[in-house]
Amino acid sequence: MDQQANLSASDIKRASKANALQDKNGLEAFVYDDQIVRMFAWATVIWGIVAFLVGVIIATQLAFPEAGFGVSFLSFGRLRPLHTNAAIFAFAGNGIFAAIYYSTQRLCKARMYSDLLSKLHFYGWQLIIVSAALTLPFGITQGKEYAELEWPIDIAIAVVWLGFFGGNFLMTLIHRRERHIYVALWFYIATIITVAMLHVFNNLWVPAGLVYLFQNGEMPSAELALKSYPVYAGVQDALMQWWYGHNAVAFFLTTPFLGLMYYFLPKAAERPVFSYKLSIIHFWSLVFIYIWAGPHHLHYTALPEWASTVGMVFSIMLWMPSWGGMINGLMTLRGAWHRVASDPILKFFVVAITFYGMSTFEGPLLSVKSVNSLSHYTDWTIAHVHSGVLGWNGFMTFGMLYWMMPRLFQTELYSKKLCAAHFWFGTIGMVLYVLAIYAAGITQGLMWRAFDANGRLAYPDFIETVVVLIPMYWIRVVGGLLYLTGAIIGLYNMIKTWQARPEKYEEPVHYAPALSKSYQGDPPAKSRLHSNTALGDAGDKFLQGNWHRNLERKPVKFTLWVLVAVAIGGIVEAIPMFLVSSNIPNIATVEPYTPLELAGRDIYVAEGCYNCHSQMIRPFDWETMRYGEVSKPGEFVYDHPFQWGSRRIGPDLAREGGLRDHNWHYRHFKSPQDVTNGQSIMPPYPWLLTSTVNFKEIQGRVDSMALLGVPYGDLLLDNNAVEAAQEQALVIALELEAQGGPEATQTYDKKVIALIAYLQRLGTDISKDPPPAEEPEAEAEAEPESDATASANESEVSP
Amino acid sequence: MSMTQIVSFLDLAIFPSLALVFFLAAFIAVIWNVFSTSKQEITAAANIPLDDDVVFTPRTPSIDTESNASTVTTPNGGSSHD
Repeated sequence: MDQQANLSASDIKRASKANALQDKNGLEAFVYDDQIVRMFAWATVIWGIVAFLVGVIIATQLAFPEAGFGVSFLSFGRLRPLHTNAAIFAFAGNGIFAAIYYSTQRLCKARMYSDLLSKLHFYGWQLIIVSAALTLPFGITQGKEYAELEWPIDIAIAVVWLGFFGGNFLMTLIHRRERHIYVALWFYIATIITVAMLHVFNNLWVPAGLVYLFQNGEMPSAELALKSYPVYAGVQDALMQWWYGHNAVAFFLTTPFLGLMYYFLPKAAERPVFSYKLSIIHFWSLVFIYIWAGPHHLHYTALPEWASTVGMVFSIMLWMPSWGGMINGLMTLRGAWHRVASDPILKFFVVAITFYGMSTFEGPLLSVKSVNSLSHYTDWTIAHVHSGVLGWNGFMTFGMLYWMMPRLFQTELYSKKLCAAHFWFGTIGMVLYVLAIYAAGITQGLMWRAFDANGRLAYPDFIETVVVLIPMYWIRVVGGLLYLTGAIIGLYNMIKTWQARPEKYEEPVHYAPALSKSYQGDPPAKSRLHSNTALGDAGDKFLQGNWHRNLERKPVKFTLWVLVAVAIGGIVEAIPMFLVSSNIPNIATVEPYTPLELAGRDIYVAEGCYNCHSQMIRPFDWETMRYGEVSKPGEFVYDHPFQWGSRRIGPDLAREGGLRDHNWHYRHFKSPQDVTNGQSIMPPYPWLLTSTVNFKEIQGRVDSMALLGVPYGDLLLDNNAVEAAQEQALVIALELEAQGGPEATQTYDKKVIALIAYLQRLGTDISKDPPPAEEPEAEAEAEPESDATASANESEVSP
Repeated sequence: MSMTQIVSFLDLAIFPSLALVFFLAAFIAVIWNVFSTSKQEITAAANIPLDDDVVFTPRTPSIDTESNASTVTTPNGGSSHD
């Protein structure tokens, strides 16, 4: 394809897409845009180091809580979302963009459709990352894992992802000069379409600040301006969130990296993929199956049984395509294994694919309900996630970057030995990290469920199950430091390679014929049967496979079919969940949070308490004996967003209300160690004791919840919510004073009071007496009893 | 009759089985298509990534003594296993 350039690169870049310059043979000339690849490559390494550094900081805080220094924006609950978002969207995100921009142009034999869109994509994405870094540490969050970013940033993500990136990518496919769309591009298509769908549907919210602005003509605070509540509540929010959360792993951390593997591994190994047929099966199987698996994150929760089972069945089926893909990757190195020993780039790829195999074996294993009962809420899940992100995503990214560096900077890699050092630091770091956290997770799970000879919990005090993990947490810190060191070596190697770049980058001119605009695809198949039925003929035509071959050459149709494939799984799970009232039986005694409790709940969300505490008691003896009655779907109907959490660094809080007095909570927030004999690893929250609640904006919060269907009645009128919040705050402050706490005049307007109000409410509704029945026919449903239980209070009446 | 009522009549317990059958049908269709594709076509598709390398002459040698062969090779292509 490459010929002696007789047209200049600048002329070719100036030529329009419709009138590409041609050589004397009528071949179209084009130049690849590698500048955008270089930009994304730099961003990948720099943000990667930021992500790993924050990871090391919060890992240190688990082993040594004082490492938060009592500073609000350094607390674990606020930094953990920053770490996960940086690792996923900044490090892995920029990595896949670098890979996609490099490989798409070459697989399509076309420059990206629009340099402007490429640049808007780059700068827009970096702006989103900076926005995340400026909001998450300050408690501006939606409180949903991996979807923490608030509504203005969500809008920016949708525009940048779909408008700039997706549009540019699809237009490049349409203007390609290679008829067949290579399988790596299929994975990129699935990534773009599915991530856009997940992002939009999981981020439907009501912005509280705008509600207040429309009703009062002013904005009381920047905090409220950025605050939003999801339109979903409780069980429905949980299903939507984990449909998103799991598929963020699937379509942000798996499919683009598989596309990357199918392009860069053959390049590095200098041989085609082992089985192209297997790659096609791999693609469609993943696209069909992955989207169904999300509910396996919610086993034994208040999610209906059928949804949970669907998630498990499809997760187990994922073994097949995942391992097919892994085998395809490793077998691509057939005949090149001798080079693995000497080529660190291949080493990165081999370890990455091996980690892909391990984590995709482990994922389905963890989705099996009996295994999940042990693993869920423990560090086992954290180990699983890190083997995937550090091993699979991290090492694929670094392998790809090292392969690209000499090509992007048009010089030799500065040091192959440093590259090998990076590999070994990373590998040893991962092994240390993952093994320690596996041990921690299984230890936690076994201790939580252990009974003594008398049938009592062997470790009734949760703190016992925490302190035993500290040595493992220190090993984790060492592992993280090694991985970070490797990445810093990688950055140094990249800088030194870049410094040896030519004064001006060469821009080779490539030539290829344009695709015929009149191409109609393979002629329609003719039936080889002499069937008496149209169905038989249609079946034979279908089996001849022309439909798929034609699909592989038509990007728009292909994209639409991918959308259909992924949408089916989401629709089948979501529609019954939202429409069938029996999935979420109402509980007559469950009422909306009071205005002060709602403000306290927002503080709970802002501080990221869900990063360490669950609010979901599963139906196991060891959980009910430790925490109380099993959680029920009807308890969460006013929870926008749900706060079930996904891990228990600290104990479950679903029935925390009334367990301890206000003063215990006050002292606990001031210094958790003081009330736990110095054993707690929870950080202190001194700022909650001094910063004040902005009562004025509470009305905006209540009004927003009312828009979502929460029945607040008279509290919506005349700033009643503000008055109600102030009254309740005073009552709690006086009770706190009576219990030996500070004077009420010093505390009633502090955030800690609102948070205590929320915590004291948690899980108490089901033990209230139900309201008296108003009509005779309602008696059977209400059944007022002195020891009213949730099951007696449940009815199947829609709100 | 509202959509809520209609959907409420569905027997949700059958959903996992229906989903399994649906997936199996799609999977068989893809498998059939893949194995009915000619070897020549598959080989050509598999070699697409190997068809685009540009060789740059290194300006500065690596600091390592051994050469970095993997960075400047032009692949000859090859055939997929299929």
